[in-house]
Amino acid sequence: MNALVELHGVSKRYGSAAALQPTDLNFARGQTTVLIGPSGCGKSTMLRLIIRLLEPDSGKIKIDGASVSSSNITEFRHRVGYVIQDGGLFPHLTARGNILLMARQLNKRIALDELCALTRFPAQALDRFPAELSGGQRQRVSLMRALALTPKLLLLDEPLGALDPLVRAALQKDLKEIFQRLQQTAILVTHDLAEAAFLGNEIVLMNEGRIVQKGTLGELRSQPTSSFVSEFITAQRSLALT
Amino acid sequence: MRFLGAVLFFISTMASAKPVVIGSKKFTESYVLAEIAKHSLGEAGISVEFRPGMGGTIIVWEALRSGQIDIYPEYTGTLAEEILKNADISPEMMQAELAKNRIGMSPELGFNNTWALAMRREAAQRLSIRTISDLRTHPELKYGLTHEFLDRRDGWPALVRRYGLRTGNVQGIDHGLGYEALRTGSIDIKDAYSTDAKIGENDLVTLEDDLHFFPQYKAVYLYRLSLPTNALAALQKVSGTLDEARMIRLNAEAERTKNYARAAALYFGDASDTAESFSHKLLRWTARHLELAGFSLLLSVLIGVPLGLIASRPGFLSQIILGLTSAIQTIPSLALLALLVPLPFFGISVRTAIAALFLYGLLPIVRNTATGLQDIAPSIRESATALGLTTGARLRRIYLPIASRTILAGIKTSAVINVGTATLAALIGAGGLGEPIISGLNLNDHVTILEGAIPAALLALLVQFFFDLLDRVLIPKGLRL
Repeated sequence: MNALVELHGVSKRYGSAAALQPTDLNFARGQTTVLIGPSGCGKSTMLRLIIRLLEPDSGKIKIDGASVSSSNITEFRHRVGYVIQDGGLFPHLTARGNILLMARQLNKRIALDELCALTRFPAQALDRFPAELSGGQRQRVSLMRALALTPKLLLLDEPLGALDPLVRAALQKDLKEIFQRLQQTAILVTHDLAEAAFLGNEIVLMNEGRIVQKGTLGELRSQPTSSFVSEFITAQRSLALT
Repeated sequence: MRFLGAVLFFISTMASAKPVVIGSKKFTESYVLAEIAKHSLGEAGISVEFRPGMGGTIIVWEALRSGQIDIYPEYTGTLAEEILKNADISPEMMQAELAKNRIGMSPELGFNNTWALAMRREAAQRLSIRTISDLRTHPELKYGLTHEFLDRRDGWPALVRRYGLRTGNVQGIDHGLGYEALRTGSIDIKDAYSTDAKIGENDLVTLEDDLHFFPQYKAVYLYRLSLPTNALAALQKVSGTLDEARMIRLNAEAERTKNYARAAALYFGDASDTAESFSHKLLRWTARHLELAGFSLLLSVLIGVPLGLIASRPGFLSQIILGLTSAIQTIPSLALLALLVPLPFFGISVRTAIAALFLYGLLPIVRNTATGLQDIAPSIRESATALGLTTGARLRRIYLPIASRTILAGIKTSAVINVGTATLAALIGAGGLGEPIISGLNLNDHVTILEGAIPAALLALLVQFFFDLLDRVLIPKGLRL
């Protein structure tokens, strides 16, 4: 029972194209698992299947040992945080309005100062609208929104993909601290191997809708299970050196 | 829905009239006779609702038959030919036929306003035309005839047959504008009424009906038999008091002063100015105009936004909604009014005008609501769903506020169109700023037309300005950055 999220034979097709082949995978509690792979490998699809933005064609997804059904989907989503690449902030609400939206709906109180401190977001910027924030600040707000209801599970879909390198590096460092401090179970999707190695306890490498290999970066590097694994690692490393 | 019910209830009570309702057709003499009836009933202490200038014979007759109006002035010839479709009917038979429809006919008012063909005196003398038969030798003459005369059974087609006229050059033209065309020489001959004040004013002659084609057009009032006896008595006081000379004088007074009420007052020997002041009239027109445009817009919003919501989701229903609302938009506004008038709930009433404006206002609101919602980025939709907001909360808190700018733009478009189109409501006697425009057209009087047209244009600008202000209040600040 160490796994918080269990995928049993989960698959998804878009028309005739298989986005995710039947897949079994467990995500360990309190750990950060990184899904990595080239575009269209099925990593985002897996994330969206877990939060049920997509329904699987086959298989079962269990969270904390229980299946999610249409009757408890809303409560389930309240316990899962979801951060996407462009932040997905609501433009008509201030940073504060975005963060507190769900808590206000549920009549819950939130320690906003603590969230700001945790994500290193300047409290005086809380009353700005998304259009008045920088890209990095927007992602910090998005993260606060995802963490506001103290979720069991945090899903991040390329959260740093649209940021410039300096901001990205700072946020990577902050994310790692946050995950550690909160003992947060997190699943992060990225296509950047350095980011995966820095943030992930475990790396899951995917290609064409299948899991190719999982393990630490060291394991992937020293014991690649296929030529694709070594090619993927080599390509990323040469990119990082140039 | 309760609110919608209240609105509908208000509209229906507003339009359902307790007082005696007097209507008229859309030409000077009919206006004046209706004013005289109004005045006469008013003197007898009977409360009157006035719906002048409702349209042509069939519209006004149907309004009387269905009980939307109680009284209107008519001519025996029109009654026989157009309504009872029997040219040789006797007055007794006429009364009996009318009684079947629960309608009565007053004794003749006095004058005979028959149709006539009029041309410029100078041209008639030059071409030696004195009778209608003389026209046979002049097939080159240009005819400008009212649409009603062109279409009537007892009108133009029958006249051409009887006299054996050869005419290639016939066009339909509004009665008031026809006199202008005659004066400038763009037409040579037009149809007229024998008591028409314009004949004397414009130095025209009427051609002798040498084959006695035109029937007798004795003026009468038609009324519903349910009319209270005191109202009937007041109405019948007018009978036998109006000879041709007097009617021409009243018509001339109406056209000179641009004021039918004043002509009616002249009949009652009260030449003092009983008319409303211009500012009072303007206030009345504008208030009614805003009422028409406002209520129809409210309905368009209440129905259009939910429809737009449904139409924003791709599918069969969306295509039906967008297709239907677009189709409504392609119906000319006059035709839409004409289509609604015969329906039981509508008829000649404020309701009909509001319904037509409501239908016109739908498309911009439905389309903009649908577009505004469709344009919301998928990442916003997914974030809202993934947060665990309920469907209703997503719509209220996220989607509608984000689409608000587009939706409001649609409402603004509808409002401006409505203010413009509401001028047509006067055609079915629903009032508003179209009232002076219609009577101005009828009188061929530019000043009267402008009395309605300028305020209507200003009103449209004001509405635009008001909605620009509303944008600032309703569109969330975060979307205006």
